[in-house]
Amino acid sequence: MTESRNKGNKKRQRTGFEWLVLVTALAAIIAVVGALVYSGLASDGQPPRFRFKVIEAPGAAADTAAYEVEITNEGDVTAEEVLVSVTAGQQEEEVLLKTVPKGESETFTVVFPSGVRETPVAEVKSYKEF
Amino acid sequence: MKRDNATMPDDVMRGVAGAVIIGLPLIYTQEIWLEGRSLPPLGILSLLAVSFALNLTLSHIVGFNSGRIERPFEDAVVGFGLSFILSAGMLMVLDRIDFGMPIGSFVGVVAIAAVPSSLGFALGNALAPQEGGEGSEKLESGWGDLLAAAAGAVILSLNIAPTEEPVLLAGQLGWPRLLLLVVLSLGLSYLMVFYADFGGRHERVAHGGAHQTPLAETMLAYLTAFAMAGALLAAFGQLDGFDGPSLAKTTVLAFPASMGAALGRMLV
Repeated sequence: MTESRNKGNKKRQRTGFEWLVLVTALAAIIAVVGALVYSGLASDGQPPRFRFKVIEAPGAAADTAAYEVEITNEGDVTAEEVLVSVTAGQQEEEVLLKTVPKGESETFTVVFPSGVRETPVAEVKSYKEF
Repeated sequence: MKRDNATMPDDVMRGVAGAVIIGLPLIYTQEIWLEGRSLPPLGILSLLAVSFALNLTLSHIVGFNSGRIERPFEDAVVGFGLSFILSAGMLMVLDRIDFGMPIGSFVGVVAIAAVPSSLGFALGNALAPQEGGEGSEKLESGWGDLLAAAAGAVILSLNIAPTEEPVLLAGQLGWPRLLLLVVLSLGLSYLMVFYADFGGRHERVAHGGAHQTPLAETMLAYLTAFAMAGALLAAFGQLDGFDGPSLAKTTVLAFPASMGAALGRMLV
C-alpha cells in the first residue's frame, strides 16, 4: 500500500512552490561549487606574499606619531602568527597578528613615542603557513 | 491544503528550524570563519561532497517534510542549497563576510558554515516534529511555553556564552546590525513557531489568554531568551554592568538563545 502510494507520488507533478525552492537551491549550489572550482583553478599554491601600505593616522598625541599599517597577503596560503616590524629611523615597533588570510588585508596602528621625520617601513619578520 | 506529499512553505520552515538550531553555534565560532577563508578549495569541495551524501541519507530516513521520503535527492538538494543561502544571510548579518572579500574566501566561509546547517535541515522533521515533542501535552500553555522557551534558550546558548565570540562580535557590530539581529531573532522565531504549524498549537493559541497571541508570545519568548542570555553572560563573567557594551553582548547572544527558545516552544 505504502509502496504504491510512493510510486504514485513519484509521478506527481511538482507544485509551483516546489519548483521555486528547487531552482533557488540549485542556483545556490551551482554558485558555491562554481566559485570554489574557479578559485581552486585560479590558485597555484603560492606561499604568503606580503604588501604594505603605511599612512599617517590622525589624532596622535603631542610629540608622538601614529601610523596606520595595512598588510595584504597576496599569496594563496593563509599566514598565521605574523610578526610585523615597523621601523622609523632608530625606532622600531613590533606587532603580532594572529592571521592574515590569503587574498585579504588586515589593518593595525602603531604609535612611535617620539615623533618621526621619515615614513616608517614595515616588514614581516616571521610567520607560519596555515 | 497539502497536496499528496508536496513540499509546502511550513515544511521548508521546519527545515530552516533544524538548520538554525544545528548550524548557529558553529556560525558563532571563530575557527569556522578562519577555516573557510584558509582551507584549499579542493578540501572544501570534498567536505561538501561528503556532507551531501550524508544529507541524501538523512533525507531518505528523516527529511524536513513530514511523511515524505520518496524524493530524497530532491529534498537533499533543497536542504543543501537553502542552507547555503541561510548561512550566507546569517554570516552577513554578523558581518563575517562581505562582497569586498575574495570570492574564494566568501564562498569558503559560507560552504563550511552550511555543512552543519544542511544536516540540521535534513533532520528538521526529527528536531521539530509536526506533532510536537513527547509529553508536550502535559505542559500547560502560557507559563509552560515560557518555561520551555527559557530551557531551550539555555540549551542553545550555553555553549556559546563562555566563549570569546559574543564579546568579539559585540565589539565589532554597530547598532544597525545589532538591531537587525533583534528583528531577525523575532522574525525567525515567529516563523519557526507559528508558520511551521506544529501539532496542537492552533488549539492552544485559540484557548490561551492574551499573552498567547502569536505576537505577544513571540515578544515574551524573546524577552525570556534575552534575560537568559544576559544571565549566562553574567554567570561567565562576560558582563561589566548595565552599560552599552553589555547590552550589545547580550543582544548578540540573544539571537541563538531566541532560536533555542523557539525550539523549546516547538517541542511543547
